[in-house]
Amino acid sequence: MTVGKDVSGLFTQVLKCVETEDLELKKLVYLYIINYSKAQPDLALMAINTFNKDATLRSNPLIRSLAVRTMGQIGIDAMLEYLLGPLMDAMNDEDAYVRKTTAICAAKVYEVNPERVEAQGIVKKLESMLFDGNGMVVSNAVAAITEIQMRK
Amino acid sequence: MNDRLLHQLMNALPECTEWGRVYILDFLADNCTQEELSREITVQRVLPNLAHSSPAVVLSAAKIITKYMYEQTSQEKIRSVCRKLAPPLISLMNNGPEIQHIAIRNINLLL
Repeated sequence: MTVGKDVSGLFTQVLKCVETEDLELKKLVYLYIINYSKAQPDLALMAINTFNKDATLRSNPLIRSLAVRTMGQIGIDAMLEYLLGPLMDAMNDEDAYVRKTTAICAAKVYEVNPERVEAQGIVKKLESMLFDGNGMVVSNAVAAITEIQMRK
Repeated sequence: MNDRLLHQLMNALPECTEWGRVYILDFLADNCTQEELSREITVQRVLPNLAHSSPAVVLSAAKIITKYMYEQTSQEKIRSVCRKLAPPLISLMNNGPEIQHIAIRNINLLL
């Protein structure tokens, strides 16, 4: 993929690997999904369940934040309605690193569909993140809100 | 922008990384408070950031301080802040040529 060959034919096979516990492999699979989800949105929909599970249920905060970050990078409007729910949940995550990732992700999904993101209450939630106890979360929330303000 | 948010951002400021600081400082500069007292507190809390090693933080801090100075009426206070503002801007000259260029352009704006 990184040398420029089209390997989108392997999408279903690669998708199966997303269930793995191995962090490095997971990163690669996510990279693959981001790369080809634009070309094959229907197939990308199949990955959503895994995203949702990874973003909310995993015990490893790195996996949770990785899933959230990937969600933000998939700029497909059709997938948004499945992603916003888990994103909302991840915003209440106990781990600060996951929360700061959701802040950036929120700004990214806002770019894709401002109305829907606003309707879901993500922006409201983002504003409440300004009062988070962790400085890293606060600064990323500030960055996201600045970004959103510029779009308006 | 209200007092509670201002207070929260001020508390978060020392904890975060340099990019986090830049975001917060720029946010404060764009959303200026109306109250004189809060403005003064903000300037006092932002001043230490001028000593930060990252040029981006120094310039953002300089930006917000300058912006708040426009609202300040007391000449005495303006002078005292200006005295603190000048040396960090000059010491930006110790960086690479790109930073020097940006620093000189910004100093030119201030003059």
